[in-house]
Amino acid sequence: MIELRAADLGWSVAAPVLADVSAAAARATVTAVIGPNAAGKSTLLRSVLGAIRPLRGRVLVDGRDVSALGGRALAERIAWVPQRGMVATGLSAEEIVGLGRFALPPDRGAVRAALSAVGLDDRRAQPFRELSMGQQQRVLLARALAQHRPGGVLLLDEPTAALDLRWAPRVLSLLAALARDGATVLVALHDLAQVAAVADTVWLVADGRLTARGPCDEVLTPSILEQAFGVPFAMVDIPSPRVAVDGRGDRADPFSAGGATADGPGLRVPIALMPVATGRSWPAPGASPGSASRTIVPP
Amino acid sequence: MTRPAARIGPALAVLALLVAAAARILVARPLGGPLQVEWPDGILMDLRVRALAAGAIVGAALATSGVLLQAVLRNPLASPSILGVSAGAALGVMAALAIGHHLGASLVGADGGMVPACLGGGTVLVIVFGLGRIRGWLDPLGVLLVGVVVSSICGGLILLLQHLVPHGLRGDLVAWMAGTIRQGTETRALVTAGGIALVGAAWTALRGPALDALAFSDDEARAIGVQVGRVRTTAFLFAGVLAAAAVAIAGPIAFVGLLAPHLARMIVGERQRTLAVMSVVIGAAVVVGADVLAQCMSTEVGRIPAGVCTALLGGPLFIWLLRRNRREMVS
Repeated sequence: MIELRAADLGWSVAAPVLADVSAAAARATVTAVIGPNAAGKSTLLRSVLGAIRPLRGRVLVDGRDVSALGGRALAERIAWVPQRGMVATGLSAEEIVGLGRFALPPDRGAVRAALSAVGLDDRRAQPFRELSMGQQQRVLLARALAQHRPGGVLLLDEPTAALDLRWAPRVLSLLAALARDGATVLVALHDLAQVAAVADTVWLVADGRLTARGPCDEVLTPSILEQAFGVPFAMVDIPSPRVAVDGRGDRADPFSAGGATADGPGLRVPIALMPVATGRSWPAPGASPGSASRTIVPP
Repeated sequence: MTRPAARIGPALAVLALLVAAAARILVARPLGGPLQVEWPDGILMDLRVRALAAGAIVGAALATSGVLLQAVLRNPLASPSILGVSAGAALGVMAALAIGHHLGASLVGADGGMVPACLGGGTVLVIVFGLGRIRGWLDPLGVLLVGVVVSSICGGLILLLQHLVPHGLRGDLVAWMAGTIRQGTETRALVTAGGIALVGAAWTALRGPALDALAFSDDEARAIGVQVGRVRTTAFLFAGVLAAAAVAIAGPIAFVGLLAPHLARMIVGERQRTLAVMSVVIGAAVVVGADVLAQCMSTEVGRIPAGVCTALLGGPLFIWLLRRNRREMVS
């Protein structure tokens, strides 16, 4: 479980990135952190990791001050998937995933299982720098999976940013499954459809504050989102023709590839309204509003 | 798939070290005389074994220092020379020599100036480490840039010292600055530097996985359980002391701290544990080999310092390696 108690997060007491954050992410749930660029999503996640000490207030994981955790005590509780960085290491995929066991007892089976879960069995000997961005992101996710223990915390900073349309849903499905097994998942996402599909709770950060938190249907509303992002939103219904139903009868997993399936209720998803005049034409950069100089070929 | 270099590379590196070591014992060329290959007796054997040990220790220490700095700074261009650690250590020893000469007393002990070298190298490390941080976090590029600048400043101060000391001492300082493996290196210096090289290499190999993790961000390393601050500080400390120990014995010897880890990486890959071991072997082979070359190229007026050989041969070799690696990455 993650708790933030009246926490100011950032580097400067005079101008914290996020001020007075109070929220809790419960065990066995997925909490999505959303917000505009530079709103403080990564700062929030890094504070929960303990990489940034709160300027004021407290950040607790399983009731313990995360800043005081380190070494094995931290590795046992929290697994972290960063935004992809510019890492040019020649270590193999398997060696990097194996680093997830750095402070924990060696477990080759866990490493192999993690690679398998992200579909990289056949790439395990390949140097990291030779993998595509999406594959690199999956390797970093696999490292966290190899480290993760049931009941632990998973922090993920835009884990689907470089993934294709096949792997983004699979990864979200994986997160949902881990949450069902007791993990506390805190994930920063930009794609609101992904948020609506996977999150139990949404934290919206904007203007230096946690401006809204709650279930998807309470936070993902056009008015709240428009205020945060500065663009108009509309709700659309996305049909979900084959939705796997969880065996225990609780939340459906819209991304699961296997198991029993049934017609699902679909999702109500907020989408940002684009500045498109006709639906086929986009204004060219610098063009006056309403002019359309480039035509999008319809499918 | 294992690359051919990974299969035969380690054996070749060890063989190169053994050949260089044998050559250092058996091959000699008196000043102005012909090349001689002979089994030395008595005092000659003692002198050559000391030179062999000094070369191997210097090479191992510089190579390990390079491995540590490249890992900690996530930059393959990091080395004790480029970061100014070698120049700082050299400045420390030269200052001790100059001040000692002025006072009429020796401030450089039988260990070859280990204390002033460590003080000089350590001071540079503290400056570079301190100025290369942003918001308390190490900025690898910042550290490298500060290191280059501090290295230049140290170079300027060394030149200043050379101009300020008497003419007789100036010649000794210039010769020492060229990087020379002395045959008469004192036992105490060898034991001290050898101990430092051994402990430094062992620590680097043992902490290999933690250094592997530092290839990623500090957050990632922290999350998997690495005590990032402790590992980084210790690595910096060892890198500085190792470079200082090498400088105290032989003066600043260029390129070894940069070249040895790169050659080792081509052979055994990037896992720090195996990289550290292979770099020690290659570093020792390079310096001993350079010293053999220096012995073979003696002239009427004296021997060419080993540091000149590493710079003249190591520089072009490094450029060739760099271009080769770039071509491999592009293709």
